Amino acid sequence: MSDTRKIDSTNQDKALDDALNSEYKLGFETDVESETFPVGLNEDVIRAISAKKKEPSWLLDYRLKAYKKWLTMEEPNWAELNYEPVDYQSISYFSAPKKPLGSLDEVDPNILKTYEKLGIPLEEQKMLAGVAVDAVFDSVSVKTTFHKELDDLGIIFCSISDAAINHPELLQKYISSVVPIGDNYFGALNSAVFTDGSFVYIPKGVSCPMELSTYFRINAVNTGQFERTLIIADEGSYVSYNEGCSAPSRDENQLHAAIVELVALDDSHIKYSTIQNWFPGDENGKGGIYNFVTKRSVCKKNAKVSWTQVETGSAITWKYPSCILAGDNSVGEFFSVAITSLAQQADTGTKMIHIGKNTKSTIISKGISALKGKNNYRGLVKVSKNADNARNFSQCDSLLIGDECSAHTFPYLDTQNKNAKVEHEATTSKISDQQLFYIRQRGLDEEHAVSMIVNGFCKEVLQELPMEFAAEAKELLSITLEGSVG
Amino acid sequence: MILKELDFKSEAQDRHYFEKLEQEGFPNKKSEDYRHISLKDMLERKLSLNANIENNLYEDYISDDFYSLIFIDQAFDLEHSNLPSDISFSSSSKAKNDSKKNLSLLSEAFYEKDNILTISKSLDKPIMIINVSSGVDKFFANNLHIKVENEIKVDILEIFVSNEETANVYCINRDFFIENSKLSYAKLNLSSHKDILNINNTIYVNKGECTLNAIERGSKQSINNYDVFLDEEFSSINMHGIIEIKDNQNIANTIKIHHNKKNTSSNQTFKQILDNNSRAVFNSQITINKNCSYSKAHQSSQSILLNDEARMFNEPRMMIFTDELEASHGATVGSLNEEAINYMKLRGLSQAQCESMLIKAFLTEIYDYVKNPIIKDYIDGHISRISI
Amino acid sequence: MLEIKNLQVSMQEKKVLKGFDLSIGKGEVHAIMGLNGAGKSTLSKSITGHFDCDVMGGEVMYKNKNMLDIPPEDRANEGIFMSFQNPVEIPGVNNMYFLRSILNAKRVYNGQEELTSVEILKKIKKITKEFHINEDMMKRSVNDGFSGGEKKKNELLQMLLLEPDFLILDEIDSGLDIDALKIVAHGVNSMRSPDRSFLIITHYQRLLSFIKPDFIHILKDGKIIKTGDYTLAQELEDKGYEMVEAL
Repeated sequence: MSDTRKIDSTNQDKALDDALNSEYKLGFETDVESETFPVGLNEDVIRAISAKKKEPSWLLDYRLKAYKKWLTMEEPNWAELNYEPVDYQSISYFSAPKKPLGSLDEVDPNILKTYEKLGIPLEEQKMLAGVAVDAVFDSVSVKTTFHKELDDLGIIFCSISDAAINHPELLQKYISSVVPIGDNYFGALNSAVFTDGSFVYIPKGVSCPMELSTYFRINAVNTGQFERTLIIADEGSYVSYNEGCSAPSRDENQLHAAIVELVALDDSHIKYSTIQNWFPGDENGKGGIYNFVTKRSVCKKNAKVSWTQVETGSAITWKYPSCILAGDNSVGEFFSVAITSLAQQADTGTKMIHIGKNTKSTIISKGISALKGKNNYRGLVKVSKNADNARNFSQCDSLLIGDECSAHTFPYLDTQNKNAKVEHEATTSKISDQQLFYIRQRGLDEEHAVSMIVNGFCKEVLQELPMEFAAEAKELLSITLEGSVG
Repeated sequence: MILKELDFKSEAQDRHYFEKLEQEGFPNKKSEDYRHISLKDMLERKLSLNANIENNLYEDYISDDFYSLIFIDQAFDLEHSNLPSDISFSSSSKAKNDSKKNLSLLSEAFYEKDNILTISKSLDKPIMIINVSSGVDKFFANNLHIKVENEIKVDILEIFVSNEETANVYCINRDFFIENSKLSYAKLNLSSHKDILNINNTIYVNKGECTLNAIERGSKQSINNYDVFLDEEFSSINMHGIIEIKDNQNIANTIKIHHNKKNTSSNQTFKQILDNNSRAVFNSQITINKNCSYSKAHQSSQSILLNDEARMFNEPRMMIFTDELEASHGATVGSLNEEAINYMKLRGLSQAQCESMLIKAFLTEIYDYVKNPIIKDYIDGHISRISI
Repeated sequence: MLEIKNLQVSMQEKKVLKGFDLSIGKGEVHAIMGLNGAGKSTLSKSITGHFDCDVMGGEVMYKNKNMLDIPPEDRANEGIFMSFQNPVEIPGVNNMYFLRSILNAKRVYNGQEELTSVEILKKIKKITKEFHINEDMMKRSVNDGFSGGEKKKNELLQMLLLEPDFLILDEIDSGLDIDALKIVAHGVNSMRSPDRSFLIITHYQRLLSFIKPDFIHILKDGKIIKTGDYTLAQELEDKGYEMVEAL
């Protein structure tokens, strides 16, 4: 874990800086809270965001264009989700770091309990929960060794805001090259108001020697609700990127609308792994995060993109990490575990668009519903006319625990090429009493037994995660399902 | 008249359903079920309502091996039908059914009474329902309720035929009520490749079993809606489809199965063979409601594309609200096995012969679901007569 | 070690055990024989706490605790082990991981230190070597895709690893060829000790010629109708179950 922790030191640094600077700011501004914009969205707000971030003018134009587009769009309602409508004029679109809490005592005891179960060290718990910390983290030395290695290889790994200033030509070339400005309602909103996120560029022929990560937990505190990620893998390069973290973080923003764009140029490979554990709300879904994410990749010739996700959090999850298999021989993979417990609702899946010849896609989706959870798989496999020899295999399995939950499967398979082969399989099952009894007869209690069976059910997906991440995901599955049996 | 304009108020026989149609409007691409179906040809064409009752096309299809019920254009032809006295065929004032929606409202709007075929005794022969029609740019609607009750087993074959030059629009409702019985219903669509045929099937199974075997070769466009309600314990539905289309033909099978009680089961197997620039939609949604434990639901759609212009949409959906069940679905799309073709060619068969043999092999499983030997023979005879 | 008194159990609303009594002392090996439906499986399920059993009355005292009061996992950790007739498959759960979890669960329950993976692996290797168990089985999912023989060997492996005090062997000979049966019997015999008791449930006498019991009970209609020594099995073999009918 310590390796991955080192990686995102830019963000670590930034977060630390923010935390420290807010003290200073008190000096010449009346109140730290005034750093937060008044609620509501209009052109002035967007101009102000852009100005605050000292963005080049093209980026402001880009934001304004997206905003205009957004105004003409309607919020989609086709997903099988029930939630209170979002009032977009009651959200503040820019907020400075929250005033740190005095001590852990001020943190929601439920969150603290989870930290304990996950075995998170006390100092980290404080950072996660947004408690003021001394600058004990030896960030400077970590940063230098870590960044030297990446710099030597020509790898750029920084925040999107930094990229706007230091690498504008790359950003301008690739931003919205995968997710167009007006692609969808939440995407357009993000393009107008995104606050920060990560930017990665891997040069030609370079294989990134370490896992890049936003995993770096402190980052989660200030991620903001409109995160923007852009990863470009130049020809023949490789990168593995980990997003999110297993610990639930304190966040008062209900709406999260992120965009992740992956550009995989010829012969490159991007592996993108996510653990999502935003606050799910209570047993009635109150207070949980709405997670409306647009994730998409484009694969050029011989390129490969693998999405792996473990979705355990949020009250509402709406996300479909997709691959546009534009180049011949390109490969798209989607491995997903989604758990909905309490009153969580997830509508998630993928889109595999086969355009190039000999393109290949694999979809493995495991949905688990417990208590009043609602879990939908929604996936599109489209084989275009010229995609000769396209191959797709999809496997969508659902597991239900209890009789208040539900699991739905909505595959869309559109095939337009006679040499294509598209296969879709789906099953729905429950945890068998026989399995439970067998494990209990060997001395493990029911919760243990359930988590063991669920982990077994998800194995095909979990084994796609980088090792450290996988261990954490397993732990998380058990914690999420606690209290769902018996 | 143009359906879309709803300019047939004076012709509509049923006020209630006409008004409902006016309120709800015709389905469009915004609705999930009609995303890949264009109703343009059906709704925007200028159509007339006058029927031509003189039509002896049925003579080519009628057989002594069956009891028969003949619809010419949209009217029941009593004179040429041959039903045993055990079966009651009657017309009675309509029962209002709130589950009717979309296109079935259109058909309902056009007739005043329900035609009801009630079968409550076992028969020595299967029943054949023949629908024949003729003419160009005509609109026909007809309805039939088929009731099977009293712990019996019945076999029915329904066929749709028209002359090659016929080019009409049909909107047909079939309501099935199965009580404590078994119905095996085969449907053979051999109508003209210029016809538009919309059939809305509503099936209620109250204990018992309904087996549907649909063989679809005809029509320029066919839109089949199936709403199935498994309303009692130990009710089951089996649906098997063969879709073999070419040229500009397009077909949509939209299926909704509602498991409303425990111990209910549903099975669907559809096979599509699409040539030229034909298009097919398989859109099936199974809902297993709360407290419907021990239910079983299986769904499968397999397709072969013979041409790059052909297009297959598969949407096999499942909505599950209970944990004690068995459910699975599968969908595949592929092409004929090239290696098998090469092998057969080396043994001296032509490309066309190889293809037809492989297609036959692919479809045999479904044809074999037709268990009644008389119906099976009849279908075999008529299928081979009409090459595709 | 085990004292069953007036046990009354229903399965699917049908009374199966109607006042069953049995007493098994330390180090003893008892065999229960009987026709299908006599209540043999219900007995083993009742002792281990299977979800199918509705206990209507009586008690199952083990080490002076009533097992009926505690959940299945606690009974297991107290030292009751059942070898299943048809061990269930658990896809995706690695067998090695499973073995490690169950051994440590028992150790934690009994206030012992958890063992490290290396220590457990050593223990397992010793067993697999002695009893000719293919080590490949450790890498696969629990019972998933195992042959009948492999499943029984996996049960044997768990038994040898957990070192329980009281073993219920439910038809462990079913589906085994003679070589596999010898291995399993060797495993069981190797565990016999003055501190450990066995309850063998079997339909056939075949197994009992490999694992010689001290007592044989014949079960009919949920009650023991005859108890004897090893010769009773022989008698049953010769005369068949008609003998039971005659009783």
